[in-house]
Amino acid sequence: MLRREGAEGVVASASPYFPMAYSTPLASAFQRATPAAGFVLVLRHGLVLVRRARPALAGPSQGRRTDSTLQAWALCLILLCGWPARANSEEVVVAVNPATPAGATITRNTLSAIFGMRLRSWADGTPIRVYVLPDNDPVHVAFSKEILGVFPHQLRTAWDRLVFSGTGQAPLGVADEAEMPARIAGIYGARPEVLGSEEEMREKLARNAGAIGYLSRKMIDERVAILPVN
Amino acid sequence: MHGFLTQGYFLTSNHNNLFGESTDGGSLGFTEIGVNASWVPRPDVQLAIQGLSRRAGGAAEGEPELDFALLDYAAVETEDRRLGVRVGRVRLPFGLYNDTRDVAFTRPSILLPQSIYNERSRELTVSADGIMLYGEERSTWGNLALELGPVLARVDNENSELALLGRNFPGDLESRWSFIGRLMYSTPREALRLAVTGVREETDYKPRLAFPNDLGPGKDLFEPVIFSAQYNAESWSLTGEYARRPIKDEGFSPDFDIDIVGESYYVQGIYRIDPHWEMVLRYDVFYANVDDRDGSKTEAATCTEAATCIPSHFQFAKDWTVGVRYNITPSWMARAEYHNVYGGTLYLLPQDNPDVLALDKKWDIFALLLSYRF
Repeated sequence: MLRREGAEGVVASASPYFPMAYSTPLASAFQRATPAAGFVLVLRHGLVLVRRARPALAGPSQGRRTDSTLQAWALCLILLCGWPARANSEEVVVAVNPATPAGATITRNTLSAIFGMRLRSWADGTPIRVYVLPDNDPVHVAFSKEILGVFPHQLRTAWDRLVFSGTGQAPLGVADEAEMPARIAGIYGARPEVLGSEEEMREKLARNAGAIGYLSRKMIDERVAILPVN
Repeated sequence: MHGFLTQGYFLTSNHNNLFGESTDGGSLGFTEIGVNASWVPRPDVQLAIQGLSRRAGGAAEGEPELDFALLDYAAVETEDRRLGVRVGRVRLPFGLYNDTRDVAFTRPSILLPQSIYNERSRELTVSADGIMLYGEERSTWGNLALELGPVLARVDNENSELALLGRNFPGDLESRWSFIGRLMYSTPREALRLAVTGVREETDYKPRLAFPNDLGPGKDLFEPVIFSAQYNAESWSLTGEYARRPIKDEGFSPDFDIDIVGESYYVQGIYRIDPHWEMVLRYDVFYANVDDRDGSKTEAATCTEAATCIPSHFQFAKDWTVGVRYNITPSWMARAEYHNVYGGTLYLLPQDNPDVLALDKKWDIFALLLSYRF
C-alpha cells in the first residue's frame, strides 16, 4: 500500500488534488520494488508516475531508460485496469461523537449543509460542532471530493465568506487525523481505556455532544462512531 | 476570533500614482488590518463584529473603522432552507467579491478587477447600515440564495464626495434609504455560480453655501446591475462579471448634472498549479459613459480651459493583468502581479493624483503583497 508519509526516500507528493490514500496491487508491487530498484511512485494531478528516487538512495546503475519504461508500464496498466478502488481501511467515513443526536444515517444534502456551515443545530436543537482537517490534508481532500462532492478550495471560499462578512462561522480546525477522535469525543489526554468506567466515558462524551468530523476508517476507535451516509 | 494583516507594494510607470507616490521607487502605502469576532448565544442567533484599518495612499490613512457589526437571526434553518434577517452594519452583497473585498486571501489578485470593484467608489459599496433579509433554498436542481434589504450607505466622507462629485465641495452628502439585492443560483455541487446584483443608491447633497459658491441641493442616483458567473473546476476557475452603471445627478447645477450609463466587465482565469502556486490572468474593461467610450466628447466639452478639463483617458480603463500567488503556509500568502493598463486612467484616485492633466494614458503596475491570517 502507498504510504502517505512515506519512508525515507519516498517522494510521495501530497497534492490536495489527488489523495494519496489509494491502494492497488500495482501500487503494492511498485512499493515493494521501490527500495531495491530505487524507484518511487509519484502521484500528481491524477497521474501515476514512477520516478527515480533521489540519487543518494538510488542504486548507482539505474539508468534513464528503465525509468521511462516503468513510467510507461504504470500508465499503461492504469489505463487498462481503470482507476484502482480505495481500500476499505483507507475509506473516509463521517465520524461523530457517540452522544451526537444525528440519527442512524445522514443524507449527503444534510452533510453539505453542515460542512457548508449553513445548518447549526441537530433536529433536537443540540448545536452542531464541525471539525475539519487542514485544506491540504489528503483525508480532507478525499472527504470534500468523494463525500461532499466539492473541491477543498470551494469550501475554503465559502467559510472565508462567512467569517469575514460576519454571516457565519468557520468549522473548528484539527491539526492532523490522529487528533480528530479526541477532538470529536472531547476527551483529551487519557485514552478511553484508562477512564474509570464506561459511565465516566459516556459523561465525558456527552460534554461534546453535537460534534461531527471525518476520519479514514482505520482511525475509528471507541471514542467516535461512524455515521453512514445514504 | 479571526483577522488578517496585509502589506502591499505598488510600483507604477509614468506619472500615475496608485496608493501613494508609487512612480519613483514604488509605494508601501497600502496596508489592510482587520480583526473580527463572532458569538453564537444560541444556534439561530449570531452576533458578529469586524474592525478594519486601511492605509491606501491619499484615500485612507489607517484610521480604524467599524466594518460590520450585526445581529443575525435565522427564523428557519433546515438542511435545505434558510430564512433570516441581519440587522446593523452589514457587508453589501455586491457581485462575487465585495463581501470580503478587504481580505487578501479571498481576492483573486492583489488588486480586485477595477471594472466592478473600483477603489474610487469603495466607500459606497463596502458596507452599510440597515436590514438585510436572506433566504436560501437547496434542492436537486441546485441552490438559490437571495439577499435583499434597505440600507443607508456610508457617504458622509471625503472619499465618497470625490467618488460621486469628483471634488470635495463645501456641503455634505447624506444617504437616503437605498436598496441592494443579490440573487445567486448555483448548481448542486456549486461548480457553476450565477448571480445578479441590483442596487438603487440615492444620495442627497446638502449645500453649505449659496449658489454659485456651492452646488445646489442635488440628488445622485446610482443604479448598477451586475451579472456574475463563475465556473469552478479542481485546478482552475473561470470568472466573469458584467455591470451596467447608470448614474443620474440632478439639482446640483445645469452644468454639473449628468445622466450617463457606465459599463464594465472582466474575464478572469485562475489556474491552481499545486497547493502552493496559483496563477491568474484577467482582461478588465471599464467605461464611465457608454456614449463616450473613448472620452473624446468629454474632453471636447470640458477642455476649453485647463481648470475644468477632463482628459479623454479619464473616461475609461483597459487592463491586462497577470499574477502569481504563493501559499507559504495556510496562514501566510505572497503575491506578485503585473498590470498593463494599455489605455485609460479611470480607476486612479484623485486623492493620489491631484492633477489629472499630468496623467499618462498608457501605464503599468507592478505589485507585491504579503498577507497573514489567523
